[in-house]
Amino acid sequence: MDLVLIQILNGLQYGLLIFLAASGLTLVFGILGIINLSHGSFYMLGAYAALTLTEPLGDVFRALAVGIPLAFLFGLAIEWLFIRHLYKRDHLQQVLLTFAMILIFNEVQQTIWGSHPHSIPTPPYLTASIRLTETLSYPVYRLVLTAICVALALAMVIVVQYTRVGRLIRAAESNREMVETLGFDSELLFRFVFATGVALAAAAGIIAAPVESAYPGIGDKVLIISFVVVVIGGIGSIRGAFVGALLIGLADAMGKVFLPSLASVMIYAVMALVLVLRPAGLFGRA
Amino acid sequence: MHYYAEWSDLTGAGHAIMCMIKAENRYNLLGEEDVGLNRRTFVSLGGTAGALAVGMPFIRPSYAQSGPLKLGVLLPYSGTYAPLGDAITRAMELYVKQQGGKLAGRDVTFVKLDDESAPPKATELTTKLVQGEKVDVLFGTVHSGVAMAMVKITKEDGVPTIIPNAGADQITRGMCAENVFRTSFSNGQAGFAVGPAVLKAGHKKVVTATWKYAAGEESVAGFKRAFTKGGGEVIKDITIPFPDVEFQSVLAEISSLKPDAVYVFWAGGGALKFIKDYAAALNGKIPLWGPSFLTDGVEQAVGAAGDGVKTVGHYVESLDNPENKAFVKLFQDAYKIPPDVYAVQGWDSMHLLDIGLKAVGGDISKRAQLNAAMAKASFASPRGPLRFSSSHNPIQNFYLRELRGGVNNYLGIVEKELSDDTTGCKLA
Amino acid sequence: MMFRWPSLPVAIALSVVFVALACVPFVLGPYAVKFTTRVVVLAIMVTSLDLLIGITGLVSFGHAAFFALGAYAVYFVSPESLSANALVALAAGAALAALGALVIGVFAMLTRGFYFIMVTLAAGQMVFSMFYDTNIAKGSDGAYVNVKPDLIVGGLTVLDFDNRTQFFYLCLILLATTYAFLLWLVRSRFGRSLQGIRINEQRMRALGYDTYTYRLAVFVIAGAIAGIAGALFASIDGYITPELASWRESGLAIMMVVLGGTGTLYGAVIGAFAYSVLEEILKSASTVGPFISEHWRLWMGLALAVAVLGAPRGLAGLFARKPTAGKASASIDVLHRDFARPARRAQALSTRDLTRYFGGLRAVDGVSLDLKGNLVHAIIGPNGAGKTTFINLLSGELKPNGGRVLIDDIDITGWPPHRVARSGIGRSFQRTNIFPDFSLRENCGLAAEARLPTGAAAERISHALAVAGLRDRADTTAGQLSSGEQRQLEIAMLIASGADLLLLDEPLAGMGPEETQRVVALLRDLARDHTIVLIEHDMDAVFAAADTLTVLVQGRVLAHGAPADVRGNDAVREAYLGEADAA
Repeated sequence: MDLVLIQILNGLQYGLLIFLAASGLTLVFGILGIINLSHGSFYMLGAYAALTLTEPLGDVFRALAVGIPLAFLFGLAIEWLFIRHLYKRDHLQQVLLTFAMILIFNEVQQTIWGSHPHSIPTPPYLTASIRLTETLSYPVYRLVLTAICVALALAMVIVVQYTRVGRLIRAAESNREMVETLGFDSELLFRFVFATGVALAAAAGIIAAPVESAYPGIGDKVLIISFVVVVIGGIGSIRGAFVGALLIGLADAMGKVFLPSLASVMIYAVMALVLVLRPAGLFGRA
Repeated sequence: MHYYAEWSDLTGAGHAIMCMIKAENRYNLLGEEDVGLNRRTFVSLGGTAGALAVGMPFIRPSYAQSGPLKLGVLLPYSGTYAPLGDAITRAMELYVKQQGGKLAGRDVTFVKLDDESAPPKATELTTKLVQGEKVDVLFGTVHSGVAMAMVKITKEDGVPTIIPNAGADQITRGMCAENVFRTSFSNGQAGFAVGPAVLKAGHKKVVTATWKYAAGEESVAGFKRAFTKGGGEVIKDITIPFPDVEFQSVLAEISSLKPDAVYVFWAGGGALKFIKDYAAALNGKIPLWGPSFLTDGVEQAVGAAGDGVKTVGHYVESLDNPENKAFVKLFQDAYKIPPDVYAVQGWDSMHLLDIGLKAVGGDISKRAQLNAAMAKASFASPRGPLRFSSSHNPIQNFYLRELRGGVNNYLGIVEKELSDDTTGCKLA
Repeated sequence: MMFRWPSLPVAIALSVVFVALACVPFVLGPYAVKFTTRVVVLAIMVTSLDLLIGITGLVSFGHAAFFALGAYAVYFVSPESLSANALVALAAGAALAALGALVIGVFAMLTRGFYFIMVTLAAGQMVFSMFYDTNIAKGSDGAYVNVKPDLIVGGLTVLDFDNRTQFFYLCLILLATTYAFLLWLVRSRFGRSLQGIRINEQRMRALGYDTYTYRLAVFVIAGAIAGIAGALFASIDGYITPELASWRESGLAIMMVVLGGTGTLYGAVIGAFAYSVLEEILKSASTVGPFISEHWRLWMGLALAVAVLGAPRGLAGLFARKPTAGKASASIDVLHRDFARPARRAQALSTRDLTRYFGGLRAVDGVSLDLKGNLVHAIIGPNGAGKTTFINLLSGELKPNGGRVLIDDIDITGWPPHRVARSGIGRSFQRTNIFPDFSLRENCGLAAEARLPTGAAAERISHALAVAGLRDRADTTAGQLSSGEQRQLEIAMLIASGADLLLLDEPLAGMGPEETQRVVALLRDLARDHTIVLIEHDMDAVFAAADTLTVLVQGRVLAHGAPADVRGNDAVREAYLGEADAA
C-alpha cells in the first residue's frame, strides 16, 4: 500500500513536469498549426542552461528567473528565423524542418557543453528529505518542483482565462483566420505564442535539471511524451494537456512497479484507448 | 598503394567540362526560356561533383607493412559511459608515450570512433574500422552490447581484438576466439566476487537493481550464484531500461521490500546519480553494495552521499605494489587526476599488445604467433598479478573497498586469482 | 494530373543509375559494396513509404516499425546455428510486417491529419518498446542471426546471403522489382483511387469508395514491402536492434522521401541515396576535414533545412517536368454525338420524422417527405433553416438523432457515406468538392470507376462531360476552371458515377445568367433518368426547374407541393418572403 501511495506521488510529480513541457507544445500546435519536433530540444537547452547558470547565479531558482526570459527571447529569434516560414507549408515540410532543427540543436549542445552527462546541484537549503515511511524519505526539492509546476499551471490558466492576451489566444485557437481578418497582428501573436511555448519547455528543463541531470538526448523522451499528452488531451487545449499529463504520469509510475517490462508500452496503450473512445482527444475539437 | 577508383575521377571531370560547353540557353516552342535546362546543367554539375565526392570515402590507400601501426579504437566518447572511454584512451596513449611512442619498434597511430554506447551503430562502426580503415589491431569497447556486435565481426575477420572493458560473459564463453582478448573482467566474474563479501558482512536478504541489458543481468546473475550458494536469498530483481536514470520508483520499491542490503550494477553517470538519490531516499538505512564500477570514477563527485558504499573490484587506487605506485604517479603527472580501474584496464590492454608484438618482432601479419603470445602472457599489472584464462579473460584478485571521504579505502582481499566461467568456449 | 510514367530523360537516368550500381562490386571494394547494399535496402523501404505519403497522402511516422518487424522476423525463423531458407526469411519478413501493419492500421485509419501522424509515431514507439524492454528478442542488446539465410534447391546452393556480391545483386533486383511493382500499382485502378483519396477523401467517400478499406489496404501493402526490406537488412550484418523501429528512423525515412521528392516513387530512391551518401561524406574526416566531420549532424541539419526550404518538391522536382497546365485540347473526338440517354426509372427518396440536433439547436426537426422518382424537387428556406444539414443526413455525412431515410423501400438510415453512394445517391457540396489537381477526364474517371469496370467507364466519362458542356476542356486541370465551371464539373461527375438520385447543394451558386439557364435546362433534361433534390436560393431558377417545392424553416417543413401552390401559401410568404402583403 505504501508503495502505491508513493508511486502516486511520483506519478503526479512527473505528470506535472510533463504538463509544463506539453502545454507549450499544445499551444504552438493549436494556434500556429505547426508540428514542432524540436520542442524536446528546448527542454534540453533549458537543462543545459541550468547547468551553466546555476553556478554563477547561486542556485537553480535564480537560474530559472534568468532562464525563462532568455528562453523567451530565444524563442522569438527562432520563430523569426525558421518557424514563420512554415505556416503556409504542409505537415510534411514542418516535420522535416523541425527534424533538421533537432539535429542542429543537438550538435550545438554537444559543441558547447560536450557529451558527458552533468549533474546540477540542488539548492543547498533544499537538499533535505522528508520522511515518508520508516525507510523511505522523499527529497524536498521534488516537492518544491511539483509546487512550482502547479503555480505555473495556475498562472497559465489565469492568463488564458482572464487577460486580454489570453482571450486573443483562445480566439486564435478557435479560428485563426477570423482573428487575422479582424485586424489583429497575427504575426506578432504567433511570435509571442511560440516564444511562450519555448519558455515553458525550457522552464521545465531548468527546474527538472537537479533531479534529471543534463545529458544529450533528454529532449527525445520529453518530445514523445509531450506529443502523446497533446494527442490525449486534444490539440490546443491546456486543460486537456493537464489531464493528459497527469494520466500519463500516473500510468508510467504504476507501470514501472507493477508491469515493469510493459511500462513504456502503457503510455501508448493509454493513448490508443483515448483515441478509440474520443478521436479528437479528451478535450479536443473534432 | 592501391586506389579504388582513379578512373572515375577523370570521367567525372570530363563530363563536367562537356556540360559547361553545352550550356547554352534553349527556348521551347512557346518562345519561353527553358529554365529547366539551365537548372539541369547546374544540377548535373553538382551531381558530378557529388559523384566525385562519393568516390572519395572509398578511396583508401593501404599501407605497407613497414609504415606505422594503425590501432583502431572503438569507445564511447559521448553518453553516460563517456568518462570511461576517456579514461581508457588516456591510459592507452600514456603507455605508448612511455614506450617512446613506439611499440616493438614501430610507430603507432590511433583511429578513434565514438560508439555512443549504442549497439545499433556497432556493426557499422566496426566495419568502418576493420574494412574501411583496415586497422591492424582493434581496441574496444565499454558497453557489452556494442562489444558483442564488434566481436561478431572481428571473429570473422581475424583482426587482433583487445577489449579494455566490456564484460559481456559470452565474449569469453560461446563467442571466444583465437584473436579476441580481454584485459578487464567478465560481468559474471565481477558479480560473483561480491557474493562472499556480502555474506561475510552478515546480510541474508538482498534486493538487486540494475539496467536491463546484458551487462547488468550478467552481473546480477554472477552475484546471485555466489550469494545463494552461500545461503543467501535474493528477494527481488529490479530493472529499468538502459540508460534511464530516473530512480525514484526503484528506490520506492527497495524501501517497501526492506532487505538487509542492496546489490546494484550501475556505472558512469548513472552510478553517480544513483548513489546520490539512494542517500537522499534511504539515508544510510540499508547498506549499498556493488561491483567496483559503482564507485569507480565518481568518488569525488558523490561527496558525502557515497560514504559507506562497499564495493568489490579487481583494482583499488591505494594498492601497495610497485607497478601501481609507478602507474598512479605517471598518470597523475600526465593528466592531473588519479587513474581509475578503467585506466588500468586500458593500460594493460596496451601492455598486452606490446608483449605480443615483441614476440613477433613487430610483424603484425604473423597473427597466429601474436595471438599465442598474448594468450600465454603473464605480467605484473597495477592491479596485481595478471594472467589469462583459456578463453582469454583475466585471472585476477578481487579486493574489498569502502568509499569514504571521496576515496575507496582498501579493506582486504576477497578472492585470490579468480577466473571466469569459461563454459561454452571452444578454446577452453 | 494523376501519376504518370516517368519521362524519357528520367527513365534513361534511372537506367544509367541502375547500371552504375550494378558495376559497384567490380569497381569499388567490399566496404563500398556493403554500404551500397545497405542504401539499396533502405531505398526499398523508403519507396514503400512514398506509396503512403506521396501517393495516398498518409504521412506515417512509424514506418520504420515495419522495417524492424521484417528484420526481427528473420531472427525468429533462423535456427540457432543453421541458416534459414531465404525465401522463407523474406516471406516471414513480409508477413510479420504486414500483420503489424494490419493491427496498427485498423486503429490508425480511424484518424486523420496530425492525429494520424501521432498515432503512427506512437505505434512505432510501441514496437520499439516491445523489442527493447522485453526479452522477446534479446532486448536492448539486439538479436543475432548467426547464420545468414540461403536457398538450397536439390543440393544446389542457388542463393547464399553470406556471399556479399550475390546478396547485393539480389537487393538491387528487388529494388527494381519493387519500383516496377509500385509503378504498376499506382497506375492501376486501385492506385487511381489512392490518389483520389489523397486529393479529396471526402469526395471519394461521397462517390462510393470505402476509403477506410483502401487506406488500410495500402498501409498493409507498404508495410509488407518495408518488411521485405527489413528482412534483407537483417541479412546484411546479421545483427538487429530495437532502434530500427524508433521514431528517429521513421523520421529519417520521411526525410529521404521528401528530399527526393514525394509522389514520384523514384524520388524516394534518389532521396535514400542522396541522404546516405551525404551522411557518409560529412562523417568522413579524410574528405571534409575534422571540423566538419566532428559536427556532421549540424551540417546535415543545415543541408536538410536548405533543401526543404529551397526545393519543396525535392530533388526529383528539379528534374521532373513542370506540372502542365493542360492545354485547351482540340477535340479529337470527331463528332459530338449526342446519343440519346435511355430513360430509366430513378429511385424515390423519402424521410420519416428525420431529426438532428447540435447541442440545444434542433437543426432538422421531424422532417417527413416523399420525393418521387424522375422529378426535380427543390428545397428552399432562409439561411440556417437546416437545408444543408438535411442533405448531409440524406447522404450519410451526418447521422440522424431520430427518424429514418429510405431509398425506394430500403432503409438507409445511419449508413456511412460510401455505402449510401453505392446505393445510388450522388451529391454535390455547398463548397465545390472536386479533385482540383486532376484533369476533368480524371475527375469523371474516379466518379465512374467507383461503380463501373474501367472499360465501360471511358464512354461514360465522355458522355458525362459532353452533357455538362465541358468536353472541349476534358484534359484541363480542374483547378483552373472558373468556379461556375467547377460546379458543372461536379454535376458531370455525378452523371459519370451513374447515380440516379442526385442531391445538389446550391449548384447554381457563383453562376452568371447564361450558365444558370444552361444548368437549369440540364437539370430538366436529367430528370428523364434521375431524381433530383435541389437546394437553391435563386427563385427564378427554382421555379423554372422544379417539379415540387419544399420550404424548410427552422428545421421543419413549412410547405410542400407544386411550386405555384407553395408560392401562394401565406405562411410561406410570411416566414420566408417577409410580410404577407409586402409589395
